[in-house]
Amino acid sequence: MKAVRSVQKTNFYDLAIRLAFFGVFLFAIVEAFKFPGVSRIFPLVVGITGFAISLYLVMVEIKVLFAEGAKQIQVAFNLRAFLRMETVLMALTVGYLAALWLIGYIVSSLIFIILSIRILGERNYIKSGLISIFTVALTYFLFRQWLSVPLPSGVLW
Amino acid sequence: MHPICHVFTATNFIALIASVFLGIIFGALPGIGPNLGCALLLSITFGLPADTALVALGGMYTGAVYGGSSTSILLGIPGSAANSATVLDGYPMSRKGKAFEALGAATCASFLGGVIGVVALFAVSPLLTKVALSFGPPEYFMLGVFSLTVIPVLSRKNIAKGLMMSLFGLMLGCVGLDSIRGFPRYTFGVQYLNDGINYVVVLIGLFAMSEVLNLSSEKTSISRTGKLLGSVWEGVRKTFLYPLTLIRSSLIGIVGGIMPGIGGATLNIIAYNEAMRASKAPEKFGTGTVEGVIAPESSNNASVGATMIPTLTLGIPGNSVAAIIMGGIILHGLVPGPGLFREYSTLTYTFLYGLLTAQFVMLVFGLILCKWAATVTKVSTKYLIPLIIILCFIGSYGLHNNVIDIVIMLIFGVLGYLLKKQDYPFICLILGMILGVIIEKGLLRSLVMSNGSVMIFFQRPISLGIFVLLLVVMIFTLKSIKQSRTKAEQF
Repeated sequence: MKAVRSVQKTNFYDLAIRLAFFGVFLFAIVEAFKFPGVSRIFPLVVGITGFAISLYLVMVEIKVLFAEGAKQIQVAFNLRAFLRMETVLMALTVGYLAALWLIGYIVSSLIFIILSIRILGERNYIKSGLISIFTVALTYFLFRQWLSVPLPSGVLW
Repeated sequence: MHPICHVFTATNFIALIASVFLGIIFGALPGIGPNLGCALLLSITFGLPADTALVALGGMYTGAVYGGSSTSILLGIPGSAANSATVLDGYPMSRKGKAFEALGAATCASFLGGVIGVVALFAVSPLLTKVALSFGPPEYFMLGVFSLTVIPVLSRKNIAKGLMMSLFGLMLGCVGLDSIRGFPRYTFGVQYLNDGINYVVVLIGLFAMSEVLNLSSEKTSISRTGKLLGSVWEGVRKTFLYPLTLIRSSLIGIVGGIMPGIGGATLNIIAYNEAMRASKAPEKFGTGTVEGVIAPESSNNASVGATMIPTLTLGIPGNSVAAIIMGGIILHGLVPGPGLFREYSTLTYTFLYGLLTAQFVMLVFGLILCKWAATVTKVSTKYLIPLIIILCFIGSYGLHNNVIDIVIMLIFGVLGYLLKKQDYPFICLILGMILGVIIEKGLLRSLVMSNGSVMIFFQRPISLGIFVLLLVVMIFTLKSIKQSRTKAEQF
């Protein structure tokens, strides 16, 4: 049976990831030379191997970019879709982290849960408020009171 | 009175049941796991009689190792690192609505693996300990490198990507003070990084946080259909359809568990990969196959009994939980070591029978709790997502009580989300992180032993044997991948 080759596509998003890894390994090698004696052996071996493989992956992707017959340049990563929900949720999560640091676990978690449930589509504030109170109370008593696991306490409160 | 009768006295049996139950709960909570569970219990068992305390500690350990499978399967959050490979197929099964089946298989495999592990503890302790003790730094190094041979299997779609991820993991394992000279590497002057990056934080970020971001755009439930298909018994039945996977994984758990420093975190990944390597349908792994749940779960529970082998017979704890249990043993006046089975035979065998009984208690609780737990996959993601994020935060923060752990978790969450879109296999990164420490320690200590000569790896019979095995496995793996690619191109 004859093998059928699909049209080669360049994925700029994947190319960016490969380049990022290439940069990381290059940096790791440069840093490793600053380590003394035996401390540098393993990071150097890993760094050089990683550098070689990431270089290979970058070259493969670039080769596809300039290959004859590469009819389509694809950006697999849908930036607009990403900006819609995931980014909002991630921003809220980062905000939650900052709030944890400032005002501690209980208040910041109550606010975070209400806001995130709202963003994710629940319009009923009473319902989201009750879920929030129940979740925070349950996790607080389970982790802090019962298991003595420390929860973040804020610098202000 | 026979030691087994000691286990079934009212006090001891109630302590066992309670500790297994608590262990399952602790294991399911990210960041708690067997370590904290046993440490908490140890403080409670000070005042208890020695047999009750030891039976309870064994029960806690058994329950906690199993408990981590439930959050791995249902929410995609590994309860502990020993359940990390369970996520790979357990969670996709939940997404297909097969949470009952996955939990049933995990429970049954954990039970069978656990029983095999304890039987090994009874039967072959002295022999296995002797083998494990002949492992020095060169053997550990070779074993670590050998474990890396699973990378081509894990990343069949793109081996180079898998290799790059594992090398990135190895590099992350280098962060912190080096094991020989204590020189800070890649710490950028940040004191927190001197201890290195904890792989549990990375694990939570890569698996759970990235999945939260994925789920946020779906607006359904974890079970895509919103229904629960099949039954727990279907999972139990299917476990018996893969006897070779079960036995192989349990043996991996036993052999690896005996070796100090290897631990369930590495073993469950190795067991998963060996199951994949031996499977007739390796392409199904990662998409929600029950075999991918059976392998890691049987291996991590088999390692429970196995880690106790060097602990009891030599006084060398196989891992941190075994060290806590050893603390409990010493606290109650026993001296772990060759004389333990002779001088304190009743107490020692009570502990062992307690460990065996704990497997049965775990099975009963597991099968009962499965039915309740699986319903979480029907809950809308708009309510689950905030809860998962909070659990990720608590799990990460609880490790060192440091907010930086949460920051690292979030970074890896975003990284995981981006990498997942392009089929980069995360598990290679985790494997690299865990093995990096073992490989580097083995390499440097071997070089110190041999005054810098690499011939030490080929002069010792076990090390040479592992090297030969490594070559054979690599040749066969690459050959089989080449064959499967040729087939794929033809059709």
